[in-house]
Amino acid sequence: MRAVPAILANLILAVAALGLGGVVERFLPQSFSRLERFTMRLLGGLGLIGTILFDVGQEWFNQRIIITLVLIGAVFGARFLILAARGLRANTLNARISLLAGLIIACVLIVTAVGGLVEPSGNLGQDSIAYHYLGPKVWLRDGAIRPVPDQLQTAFPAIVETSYGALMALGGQRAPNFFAVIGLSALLLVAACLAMRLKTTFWEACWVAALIVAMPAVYGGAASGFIDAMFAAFVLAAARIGFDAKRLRDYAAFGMFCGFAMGTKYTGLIACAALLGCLVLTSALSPNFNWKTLVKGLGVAGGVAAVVAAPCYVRNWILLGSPIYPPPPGLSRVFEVKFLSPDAIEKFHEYILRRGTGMGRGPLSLLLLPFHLTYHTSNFSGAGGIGLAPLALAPFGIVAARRDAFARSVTLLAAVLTLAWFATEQESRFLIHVYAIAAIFAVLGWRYVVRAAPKFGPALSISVVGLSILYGLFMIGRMRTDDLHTMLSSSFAEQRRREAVPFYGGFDYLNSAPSAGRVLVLDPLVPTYYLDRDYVKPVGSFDEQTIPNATDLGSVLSDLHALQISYVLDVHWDRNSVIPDHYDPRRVRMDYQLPENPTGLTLVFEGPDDRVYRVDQP
Amino acid sequence: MDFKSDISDERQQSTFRTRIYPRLVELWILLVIFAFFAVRVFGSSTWRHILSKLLHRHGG
Repeated sequence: MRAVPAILANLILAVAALGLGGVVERFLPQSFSRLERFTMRLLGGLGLIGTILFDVGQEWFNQRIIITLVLIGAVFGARFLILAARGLRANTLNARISLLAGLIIACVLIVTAVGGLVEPSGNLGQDSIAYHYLGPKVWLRDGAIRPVPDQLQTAFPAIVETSYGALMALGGQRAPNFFAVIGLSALLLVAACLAMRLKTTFWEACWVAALIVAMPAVYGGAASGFIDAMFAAFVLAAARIGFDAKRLRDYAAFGMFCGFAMGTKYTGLIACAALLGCLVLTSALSPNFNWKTLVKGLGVAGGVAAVVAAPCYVRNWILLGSPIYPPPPGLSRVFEVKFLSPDAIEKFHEYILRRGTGMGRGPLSLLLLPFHLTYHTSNFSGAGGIGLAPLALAPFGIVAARRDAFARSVTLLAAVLTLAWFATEQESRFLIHVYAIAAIFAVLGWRYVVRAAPKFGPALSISVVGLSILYGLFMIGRMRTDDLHTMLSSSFAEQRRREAVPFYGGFDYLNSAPSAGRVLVLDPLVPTYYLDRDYVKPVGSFDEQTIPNATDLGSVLSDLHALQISYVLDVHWDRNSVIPDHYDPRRVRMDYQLPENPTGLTLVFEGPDDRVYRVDQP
Repeated sequence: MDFKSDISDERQQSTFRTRIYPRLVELWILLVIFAFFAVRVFGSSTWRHILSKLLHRHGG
C-alpha cells in the first residue's frame, strides 16, 4: 500500500507535464506527427515543471506551491488526454507494431516500475543518496531551493531534481525512484521520433526503442535517481527540432530544449554548443542557406535557452561565487567560491579526471573507442554496456543514410558529442544520447545488411540484435534482482534495510524523537539523506568546510549552543568499507569521533556503530 | 582502349558489389559476434569461475 502514493504522484506529474507541455507544442512545426507532438509535450512539460518550480523555489518550495502547479497542469493534461483518446478512436492505427519489441520494452518498464517502488537505500557512494535525493529532501524541509553546503553536487543544475522534490511532496520518498519509468519512456519516445524522422518505419522504430531499453548503460542512467536519461532525451529533442528548424518559432522550441538540457546538467553547456555548431555547419552547407534567417533563429534559440537555464547559474554565482560550482579548471582561478578551498577544488578536478579516464585519451584510444565501449564497458563505469548492434550494424546505417541531410546532421552531432565526451569525462552514462543515435543507425544498418548481403545478412543481423537484447536483459535483471526481491518479501526488505541503510537505529531515534532540533553530524561520510531533521555537517565528503572557524572537533563542540544543536550523531564504523571513490582519507583534518563520556553531552541512544548524544542545557 | 577499360572497371565494380562486398559485410558482423563471445562471455569472471570449478571437480 505504501507504493500507491508513489505511483499516483508520478501519474499526476506525467499528466501535469502533458498539460503544461501544451505551451511547448504551440512552437512545434506543423509537419510534426501525432507521436512527435505527444513526446515533445511530455518532455517539454517535464522541463517546464522543473524550471518553474526551480525559479519559484528559490523563495518558496513547499507542498502548497507544488500542488498548485501540478494541479493546474493536470487539469490541462486530462483535457488533452480525453481529446487525444477521442482522436485515436476516430483514426484507426495503421502503423505496424512489432509485438516482440513491444514485449521487450514492456518487460523492462515493468521491472523498472516494480523495482522503482523500493525505498532508496545505500551510502554516499550512490549518487542518489549523496545528492539527487538529498537536495530535494532538504529543500522541502527548508522551504527553499538552496545548495546544501556539505554536498557540493546539490549546487548542480537541478531541473530533474526539482521534479524529484515535487514527487517527494506528493508521494513520499519512494516516488522519485519510480520516476525512472517516466524518464526511460520519454527517452524511448524521443528516440523513436528521431528514428522515424530518419525514415525508419514504426515497426523499425519499435526495435530502436527495444535496443535502447536493453542497453544496461542506458538503463543505469535512468534508474535509481540518475538523471542522465532525461538529459539525453532533452538533447535528442533539441536535435529533432533544431535540424529541421525553418521558422523563428521552431528555433524558439529548439532553444527551449537546449535550455532544459543546460538546466539539467553542466554537460548540457557542451551539448548545446555542439548542437549550435552542427546546426550552423549543416545549415551553411544546405542549398537553401539563408544566413539572415539562421542568425535570427540562433539569436532566438540562444535567448530562449538562456532564459530557461540562467536561473541556476545566476543563483550559483550569487550564493556560491561561481556560476559553475565547483568552478572548472579554467574558472577556478577567476572565481573565489564559498565552502571550498583551492586545494579541495583541485582535488575535485583530479577526481573527475581520474574517474573519466576511461581507457585512455590518446589517438589510439579514440580510434578503438567503438570497440572499448562495446567490449570493456566497465572501464567507463558503465557495466553491462550497450550491446553489439551499434558496432555491428550502425556503420552500415550511416552508409545507408549518407545522402539524407538530416541523417548527416545527426551523425555529425553524435561525432562531436563523442569527441567532447572523450576529451572531458568518459563516463558511460554521459553518452546516452549518442547510444540512442547509434541504436537508430543500427536499425537502419539492419535494413541495409538484409539487402546488401541477402544470403547470410538477415540471420546475422537478427543474431546481433537478439544477442544484444538478451545479454542486456540478463544484465538488467541481475541489476534489479534485489529490488524485485525487496518488493516481494517483507522479511528481505527489512533485512536489506538493516544492511543497506547505515545507522538506521540512530536515524530512527532522531527522526522519531519529538524534541530533536538541529543535529550535528560529525563524520563526513554519514549519508544525511536518511535524517529527517535539520542538521549541520562541519565537513563534507569533498572537503566542503561549512563552518568557517571550525577547524577541529574541540572548536565545533564549543559552538554547539551557538549553532543551536540539540543532538550529536557520533558513529564508529569501518570507514574503509563505505569510502566512496572520490573521498581521500589522507585529507582527514579533524577527528570525527567523540571521546568516551564527552562533557556537556548525554548518551541517549547506542547502536552497534552509532551513538546519539543529547546536548545538555548550559 | 578507354572504352574497354571502362567496361573492365564496371565488371570489377559489379563483382565487388555482388560477390566481395556482401561477404565483407557478413565477415564484419561475424567478427563482432565472435569478439563478443571471446571477450564478454568466455573472458568474463563468471565464466572463468565456472570453468575453474569444473576443472577442480575433474581433477578431484
